[in-house]
Amino acid sequence: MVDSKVDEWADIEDDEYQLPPREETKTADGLKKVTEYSISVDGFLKKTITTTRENKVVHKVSKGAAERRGWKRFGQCANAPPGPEQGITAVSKDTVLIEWVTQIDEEEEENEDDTLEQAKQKALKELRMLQMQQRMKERNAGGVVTTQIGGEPAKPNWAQAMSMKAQNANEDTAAPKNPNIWVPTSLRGNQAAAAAEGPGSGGYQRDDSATVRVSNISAKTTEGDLHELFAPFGAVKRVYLSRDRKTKESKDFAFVAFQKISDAQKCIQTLNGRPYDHLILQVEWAKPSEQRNPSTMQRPK
Amino acid sequence: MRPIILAGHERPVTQVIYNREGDLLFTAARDRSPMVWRAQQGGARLGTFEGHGGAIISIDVTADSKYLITGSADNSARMWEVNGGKQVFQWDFKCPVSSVSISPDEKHVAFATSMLMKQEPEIHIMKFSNDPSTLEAEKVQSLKGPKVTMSRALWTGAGDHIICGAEDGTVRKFDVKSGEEIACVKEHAGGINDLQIAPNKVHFITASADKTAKLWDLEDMSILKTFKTERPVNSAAISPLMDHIVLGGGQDASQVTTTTTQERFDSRFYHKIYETEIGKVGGHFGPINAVAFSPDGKQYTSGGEESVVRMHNLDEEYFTKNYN
Repeated sequence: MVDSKVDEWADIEDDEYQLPPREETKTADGLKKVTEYSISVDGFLKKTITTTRENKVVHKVSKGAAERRGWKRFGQCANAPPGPEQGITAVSKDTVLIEWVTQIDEEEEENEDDTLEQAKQKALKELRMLQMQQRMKERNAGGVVTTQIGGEPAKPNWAQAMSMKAQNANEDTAAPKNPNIWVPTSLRGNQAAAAAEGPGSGGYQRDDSATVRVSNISAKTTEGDLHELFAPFGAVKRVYLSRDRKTKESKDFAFVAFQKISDAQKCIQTLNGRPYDHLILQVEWAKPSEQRNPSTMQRPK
Repeated sequence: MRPIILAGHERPVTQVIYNREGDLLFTAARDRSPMVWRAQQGGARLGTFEGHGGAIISIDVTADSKYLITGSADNSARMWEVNGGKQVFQWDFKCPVSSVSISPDEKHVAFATSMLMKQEPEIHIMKFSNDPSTLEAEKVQSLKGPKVTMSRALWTGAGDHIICGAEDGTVRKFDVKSGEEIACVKEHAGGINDLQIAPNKVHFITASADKTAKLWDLEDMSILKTFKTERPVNSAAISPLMDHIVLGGGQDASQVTTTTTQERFDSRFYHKIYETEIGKVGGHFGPINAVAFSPDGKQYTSGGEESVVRMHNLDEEYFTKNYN
């Protein structure tokens, strides 16, 4: 069957095969349909149908611009059909929006307005911190009766503790030379007293008594999921999901703090050993932070 | 908005300009073919100008849009008929042409030549005419100032001064008639990549590698505003309609492939008066080398290192939003 005139048999197919011509049809409802054929990269015949609707829009243009509309194409695109060239001019498939960056400014303005409110909040926070600090001291003093603070007899008496705090606070304000410089809580006030109390005291500490440690949770669990899981047992104060500092990936354990110890107890009894997201949960009491190395951060890790 | 992507170039884009009416967009890139596009008709390509033997660094078009002048790294500048793309004149130099600017009266044209092959950088003021048959390569004046390449040298005012930004961070102003340097101000710590004159002709803006763009007063060469970013700025344009400027830039092109950080290449809109960032528009895959506003301010175009030009028809929201 091979024609003797053809030198290379491999050329036959290429020479004989011709792409179907470009077709252009107009439908009744004003749509233009263009059918084009091409050979795709993997050697298949590619049929491209482009349907366009032509809208007539009247633009007023200057004389020069109107004249330029009649100019013919030249250079690389001299023989291209009218309209945008395929592969050269294309309308972006994605809608691109201007990402406004106004929120920051608004926040700043708000902050400026609310400096008074902010100062109030700050003062309240400081007060709460002081109270907590005092409570810790009181608890330590109450637990070990023999401990003496600055020669004063330690008594679990709130009124006395308050006066003591006031005394401490007076010392605090007197001690730092510059009130703008931050002084670690452990160094504030009576340093000798702080030393006598031992490590872990004198500073701000979280009440971990109603906290449970949840381990063996799947990596995709989020704080929201944990909230959902633990909320039925009682009011949840705080959920801390441990994450890798760099990658922000979950480290598979979390701490959940309840308002009440009884809720935490109930939670441990119910959830420990239960399956959650293809893994078996392990729920136990969180170890109090005093037992950990005081030099590390006092946040559960 | 859905930008129109113009993918005609094969090498990094160097400059984009509109003609006076804003119906044509001219683009230059480091390939050999400057191009012209129909800016108001969906970005269809009108033609390419064939003949240069090197990268095109700068372009300028006459006010009547009849002639285009291109400056190239093949040590020549050429004049083309925009209708038909025929080359009608050629100027030859000893080193690459880094800037082209036609004077307001269209009787002269300024070419800045860069520093290469031990040639001192220079601004050549040549005679120009709208009739190429009478044109001759006649040098009228030669301005010498910075000892580094000048990225832009543009005519200002009534055409008696030339203002130029150089790679050493200086901005200089020359008197064309006497050939003297009137002012030399160094306010940028990095090289100046782009210099554009405001549509009101009394200000100009410089884009610098020191990550800032500055708005200047043309008359007394003082700095009015400074726009700070975190990336080198390659190009800056002033909106003719809104109190906005748009900055194009990004990482240094030589570092794009060597760093791991996910880089975004945005055109960034700044408020011209408050100096604050208003918004950004993404889409490019490489640093943005050139930005330009259309003369009506309703469209802006950016050209990137990845050779793509993106034409943005700004949304209604952009014009109606309260920016105060």
